[in-house]
Amino acid sequence: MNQPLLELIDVTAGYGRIPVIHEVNLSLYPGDIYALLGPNGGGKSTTLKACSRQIELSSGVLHLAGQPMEGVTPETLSRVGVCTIPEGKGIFPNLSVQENLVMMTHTGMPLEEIEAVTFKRFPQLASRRKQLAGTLSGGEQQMLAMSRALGTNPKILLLDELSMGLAPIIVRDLYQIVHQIAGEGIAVLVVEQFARTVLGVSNKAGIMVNGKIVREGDPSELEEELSAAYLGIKGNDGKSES
Amino acid sequence: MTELVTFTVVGLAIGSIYSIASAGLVVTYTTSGIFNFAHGAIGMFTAFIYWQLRWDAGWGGQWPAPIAMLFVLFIVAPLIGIFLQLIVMRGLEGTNETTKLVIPIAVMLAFIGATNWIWQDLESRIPEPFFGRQSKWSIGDAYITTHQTIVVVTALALALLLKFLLTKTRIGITMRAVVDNRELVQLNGGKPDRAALLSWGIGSMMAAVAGILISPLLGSLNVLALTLLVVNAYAAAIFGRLKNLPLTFAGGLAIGLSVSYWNWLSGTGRKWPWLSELRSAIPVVILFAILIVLPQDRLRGSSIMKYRESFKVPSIKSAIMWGMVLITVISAFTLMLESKWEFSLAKGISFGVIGLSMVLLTGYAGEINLAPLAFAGIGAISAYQFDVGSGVETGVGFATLAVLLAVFFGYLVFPAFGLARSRLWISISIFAFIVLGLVTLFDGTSGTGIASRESMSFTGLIVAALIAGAVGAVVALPALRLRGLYLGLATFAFAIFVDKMVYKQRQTLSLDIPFVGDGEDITFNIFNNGALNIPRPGFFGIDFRQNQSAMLILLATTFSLIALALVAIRRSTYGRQLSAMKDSPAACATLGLNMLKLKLSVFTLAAAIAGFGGALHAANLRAIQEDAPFTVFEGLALFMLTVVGGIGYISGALIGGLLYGTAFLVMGDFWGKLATDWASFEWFFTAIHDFFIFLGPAMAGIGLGRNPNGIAAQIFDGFRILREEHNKVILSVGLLASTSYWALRIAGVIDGWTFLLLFTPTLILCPLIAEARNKDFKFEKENQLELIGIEQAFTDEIVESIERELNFPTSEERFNKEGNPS
Amino acid sequence: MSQLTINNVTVRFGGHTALNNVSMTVESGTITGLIGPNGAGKTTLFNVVSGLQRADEGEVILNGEIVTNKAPYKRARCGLGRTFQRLELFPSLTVEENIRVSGEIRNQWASNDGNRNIQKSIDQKMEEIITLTGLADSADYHVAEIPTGKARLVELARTLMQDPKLILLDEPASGQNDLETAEFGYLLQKLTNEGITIFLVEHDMSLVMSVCDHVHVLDFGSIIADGSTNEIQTNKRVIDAYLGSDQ
Repeated sequence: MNQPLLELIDVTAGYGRIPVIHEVNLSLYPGDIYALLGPNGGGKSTTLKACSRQIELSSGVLHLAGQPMEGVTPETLSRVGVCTIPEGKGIFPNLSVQENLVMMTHTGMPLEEIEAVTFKRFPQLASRRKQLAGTLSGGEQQMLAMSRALGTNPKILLLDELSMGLAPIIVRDLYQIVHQIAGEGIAVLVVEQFARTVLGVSNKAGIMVNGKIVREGDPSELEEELSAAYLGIKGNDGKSES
Repeated sequence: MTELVTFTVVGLAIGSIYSIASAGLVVTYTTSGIFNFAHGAIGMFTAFIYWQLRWDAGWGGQWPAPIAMLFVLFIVAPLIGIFLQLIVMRGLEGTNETTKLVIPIAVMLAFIGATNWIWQDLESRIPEPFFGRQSKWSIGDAYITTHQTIVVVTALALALLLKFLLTKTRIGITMRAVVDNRELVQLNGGKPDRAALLSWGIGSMMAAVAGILISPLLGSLNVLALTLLVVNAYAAAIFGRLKNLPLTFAGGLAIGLSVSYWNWLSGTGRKWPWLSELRSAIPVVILFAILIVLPQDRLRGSSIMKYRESFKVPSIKSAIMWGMVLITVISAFTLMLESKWEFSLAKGISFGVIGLSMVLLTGYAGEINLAPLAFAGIGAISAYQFDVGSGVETGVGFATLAVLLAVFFGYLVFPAFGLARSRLWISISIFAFIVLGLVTLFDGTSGTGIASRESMSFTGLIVAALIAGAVGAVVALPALRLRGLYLGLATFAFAIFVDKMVYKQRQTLSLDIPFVGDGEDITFNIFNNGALNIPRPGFFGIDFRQNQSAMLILLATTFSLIALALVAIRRSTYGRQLSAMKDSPAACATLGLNMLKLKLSVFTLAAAIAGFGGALHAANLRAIQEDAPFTVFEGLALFMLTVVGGIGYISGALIGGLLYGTAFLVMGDFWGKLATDWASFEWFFTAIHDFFIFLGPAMAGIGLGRNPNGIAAQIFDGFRILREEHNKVILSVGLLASTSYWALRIAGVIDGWTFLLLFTPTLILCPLIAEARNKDFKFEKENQLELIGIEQAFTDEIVESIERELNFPTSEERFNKEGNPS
Repeated sequence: MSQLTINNVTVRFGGHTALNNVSMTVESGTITGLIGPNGAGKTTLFNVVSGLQRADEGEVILNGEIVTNKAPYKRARCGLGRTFQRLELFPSLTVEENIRVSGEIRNQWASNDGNRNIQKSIDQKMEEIITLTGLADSADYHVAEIPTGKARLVELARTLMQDPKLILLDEPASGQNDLETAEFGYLLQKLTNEGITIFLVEHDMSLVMSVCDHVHVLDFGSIIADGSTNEIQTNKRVIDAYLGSDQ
């Protein structure tokens, strides 16, 4: 059981000809919550998109449970249990809540089950099932997005900037759910800017600067280096601080 | 009351058909992002198939209506849609806007060509309405036909069905989800491609329903009329902003009703006949109006790094050189070509002149104009009215016109070229004087009667350019805010408007310029009786009337001069501003550029070039008709082929023009000649002949329209190799061979076909041989393994090639083995 | 004196409030920074100032003149220049032509508006700016062929041809390497010495902290702090905004 569920090996990727991340290595084990942190433009989201195969890898490989994944599409990945919730827009705003749940059945789960799980966990969504998802509050939208992670039984969960635009208290609730999901043996990769919220729940963390993971380790160790990476306190490039 | 009911019912019936057609258009647009220009043509094509199965005694064999209907709607139409999506449209994702317009236009032309090919003979095909013409029922005194009832009921049923599909089924919900966020659909495990396939199937099914229902209202089946009828539905789709189905349905009904009420209110239209003629143009007028009123996207930065087409700009010097080469080659050709071929070649080159207007407008400035030939037609008509038609009665009347035009141009166009306001009035006066000077110098005007010459004057051409330019500005003025598809649709609407309201205009119009002359100063009958006999030019002491060679050389010279002017423009500050506007409107705004003026001026200039070229083209043809050569579909074909040629290049315009005006006809002729020569294979050669005549342009568009740089760039790249030092030999041999074929042809040793059969391979082989030689050359130089690393640096590719050469596993394979120990 | 004043600007996209009652000033002759986490509304604010985005409420005052309802090109003529986070160069043109066309556009409107000082020689001005930005080696390349770091300089050079009084720089350091960023910071200071005011959105904090005289911090569409660089670096609300609240 010590084989990683998801592994990036020397992955270089980007948009068009321009690479954004360089030779990134990353492994996720069952039950892990890996927090990928760092300043904007550092390549966090690109790394996540490389995992979900929303972008092509220009070199390197992606392994899922030890199997190399070559030429797979995002829809195949999502059907084999990789659940990706992209940044800020994990829902279809012009579909109703109900229809958003229907879209989740593409993964193979029956609608009844998804509805049951969702409405049990987020009762306030049940009363809004006919409402357009775009008119929900920010927190409710993110709950709706999270219900895909809950309802479709994924093996791997990829979360991009879950906390964006949300009140801290809601963010904390959402991460409680993430924590619980990981407790069921699911590997979770979290990309976050709001580092402190995640550091509490994650068991591993990496700091990404300029397309490279410059530091990896226990979350508590990383906090100081983080504020340096964000606010650019002089003479610091993430490595030379200690 | 009875009338009200009758006209309302008629309007509702037509409106329902528009609603159905436009709903299909919206469904495909929302899921694939492609505006299906071919929608109307698909409706037309399927209506023909339905007619064939239902009514023709020939190979269809009069099937019962329900069976024919089911077959067309559920087998033919969906297959067309699915085929289109799989073969043609799927590849368009992520391509630029011009390509997304050109390919569907090519598909539309392909359907029109195919229909013309299959249903060639001129018999009249009359589709009967459902349950016959006599089947009707009544409300009060008003009769409602069963067909009308069926139409309205079908529209209602389809609306409900679509609503059910899109809200209650998973695939329908997926189709809507694709619109919201295609990527997220994939992340959900959905398949956007499958949704797109379904939407194309549904879209063409709706087009088929509309085509079949509308065809009985038309009398006899007519390819272009039927296509245009369905095109009317585009206005409804835009009314629904290409995404809102209820609004689209409402828009369709509104258009149908307004056409019908207009018919009613304008009555027989005795006093103003053109008012009742306007009814056929109402849908496009509405389309134009909606486009203008519609809120536009604000200027925004480009969302992704775009790899745009990059057009190389020739220097003035090389533009002059190539212009002279063109004139020389064409002159050499005149010595050996029969006048029939000279005529075809002249056609191609004059289309090329019109094509130059698109190079300026679309290639340089990035503005799309789907009505190039409408401006060309206006130019031709202007030149005719000035030279032959009743036209301008007095010199004073013309002088006033000249001053008006001068003020117009001076105020709108010149400032955009960087002319300071203080100098504006001086320049306007100078411009007016130049125009007047031309009139007096070349026409000897002295008070009365410029009209009724036998040849086209140079001033006539200038007038053509000025008036076409002025019309261009008037059209562009409201459309300035539009970009991309919307601008394309607005100009498309204008082209249809010109088709319906100018080419079909029979009334005499007169204009009294106040305080000038006495009575009516300008009178004209726009389009006499469906045909205008345009005179050949006769100026500079040369008579082009009987001399096709002179006409051809004149056209080549005109092309070269306008091309030179365009190169000069592109290299001036004006041209740089055009490129800047095309590349980034947002950046231009932050540099203080007022783009409205710039757009207006470039539209005017392009329309003027088109008008000038149109007048020359018409003169070469000697006559124009209401249905040729300046109609909307011909304009689309020329636009498409210019893009195929390379719309950013001068030579792209020439290639486009030659393809359209010359190449396909020559090819057709060639196979036609083979068909007569070898009677036993006649069917085969006739088929090839027909293919080139009916489908040639469309296939060229579908096949080659995707390359944003066009084939001009490929040809350049191919021939550039000949300029390398060690290939000079091949170049000179090629030139020598070509010259000797030419000499042999002049001497009468070989005939025209033999010349073509010798010349074409020489032209193609020269760069190929050079390339093959170059490869050998490089192979010798590079393939000495022992020198790698000494003379050149190790790169990954070299390492890989060495590994391959020595049969080592490549680093990638090694890596995979190590990375995968199981 | 303030070069730019923003009063109570609010921008909504549908139900989402991108800017919420934002007020701030940029003083003449300073380099003023605007920082904040992703999605805080920085680029939206720049768009409001340059006129590419209409504000739902509030006003923009440029050099004492209210420009809230003016078209973007008219604001540019009031001496406002800007660059873009996502490069907005003219790929059909070479680097030199990109810069030249800006000067040409400027001369044209200056002469049309009358009584403004027209640059006598675009060539001379261009040579100065190309030397200043260090683009001499790249002048003949098409902009698609040069690296992003250089392309950012082309955008700046293009703006400088306009003789702007205030330049908005949107993430100029992204795509530049450390050396280029350091040189860029030096260049910005040179420009302020020549009397140009600079308003800078940047994620590279080493650049912001080293060149800015004053920094505003935007979070969730609201200004949460402003002050000198030292004050900002130690401000608890700012740290919370970046790292997430500790509650």
